[in-house]
Order: sequence, then C-alpha cells, then structure tokens
Amino acid sequence: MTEATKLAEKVSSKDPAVGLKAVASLRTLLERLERLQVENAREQGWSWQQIAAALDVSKQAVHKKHGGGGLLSRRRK
Amino acid sequence: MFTRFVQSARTAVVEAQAATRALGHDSVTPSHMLVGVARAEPELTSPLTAEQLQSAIRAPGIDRRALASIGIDYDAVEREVEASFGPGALASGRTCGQLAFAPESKKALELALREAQDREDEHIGPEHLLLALLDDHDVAEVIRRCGADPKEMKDRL
Repeated sequence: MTEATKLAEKVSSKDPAVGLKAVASLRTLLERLERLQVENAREQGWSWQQIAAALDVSKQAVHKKHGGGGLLSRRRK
Repeated sequence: MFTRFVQSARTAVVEAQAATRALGHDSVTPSHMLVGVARAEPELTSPLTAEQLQSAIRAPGIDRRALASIGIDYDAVEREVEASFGPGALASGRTCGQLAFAPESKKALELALREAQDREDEHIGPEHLLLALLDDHDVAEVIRRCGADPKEMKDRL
C-alpha cells in the first residue's frame, strides 16, 4: 500500500474538504491527461475529427481547446 | 516591485522561473521560489540543496491524499504515464508559454518587502524572501519532505 493510501485511511471520506479536494484534483488530472493524449494523437497524425470522435465531443470543442492556432503552435519546440 | 531587490534576490526570482520551467509547471509557486533562493544563496537553505528541494516539489493542483481517499493512487498513474510518455509528462502545462506568478508568490514578495521594512533594512535580500516563503504551507511541506525543519530554518535567519 502506498503512503498516500495509508494517509487516506485516517481521513473520513465524509469530510467535504477531502471530497471536494479529490474532485478538484481529479479535474486537474483529467485536464493534463487530455492535453497529453491530444498532443500525442496529433503527433501521430490523427485529425481533429478523429480525436473529437474518440473523446466524444464536437470537433469544434476539441479544436478550440487544443488547437491553439498559429501563435501557440509556433511557440512549440 | 523589484527595484529594491539586491542582485541575489533578483537572481532568486529568475532561478525560480527556471526551476518552474525545468519541472514543466506553468505557475511560479512559493515552492519554486524556495528553489530559486537556494540557487541564489545556497547557505540560506543549507544543508538542503536546490536540487533536493526541486525534486521535492509536487505538481500543483493535485492532492494525492484526497485522490487516495477515492481510491486513486496518483503515484501509480504518474508512473504508468511516464513509462509511456517520459518523465514529467503529467506535469502541469505548456512549458513553452508564459509563466505566471502564483498569487501566493506575489503575496510572498509583498511579505518580503514588509519583512525588510520591519527590520529597517533598506534593501530586500534573499533572506527576506526566504522568511516570507517560510510562512507558506507548501514550502514548509517541501522542506519537511527533504528531512529538515522549516521552523529551524526560520529561526536561523
């Protein structure tokens, strides 16, 4: 068992402070995973259409969020 | 804001930004500033080195304990993701973009100014910066993770 899991046992799961923090952390984790996976898909030549379908969102939504346009892509290494 | 900073305090701020970039984070938190101070004035945080402190910084926005309370082992997730995408893959942000100072860091800079005023020091040095940073909860946590006592570090200043 990891240190984190052991620590968690001491905390009541009904404590809103912990529960809400878990939700916020999960959201952060989700955003990072999404960015990572979208970048990876683009590097592997996936179209925005394919990525949107896999993420179950509209093409516009995924492009708006991750497309960035000229400025960002130029800044990338 | 930085006009009254001595050179080494400015170096600390620059080094804090470098540490933030190196970790792939997008916001300069007080913990990154701590690394900056350690780079600019190593004796202030001795025996802890800047490298040690830097490796003790966790990605912002993730509370491992809270995630563990719903059965998610963040370390395991990080391990798996890094196995596929390389070290730092889950770090927070677009390292190529503009770095922002976290509100807590801005607060610490103001606090450093006040520390200097209270001590009637004309200039703001890394020691004032460190004093201000030691009030931050995450900074204390980073120091403890390295096996030192933040209170002891404060008493020495």
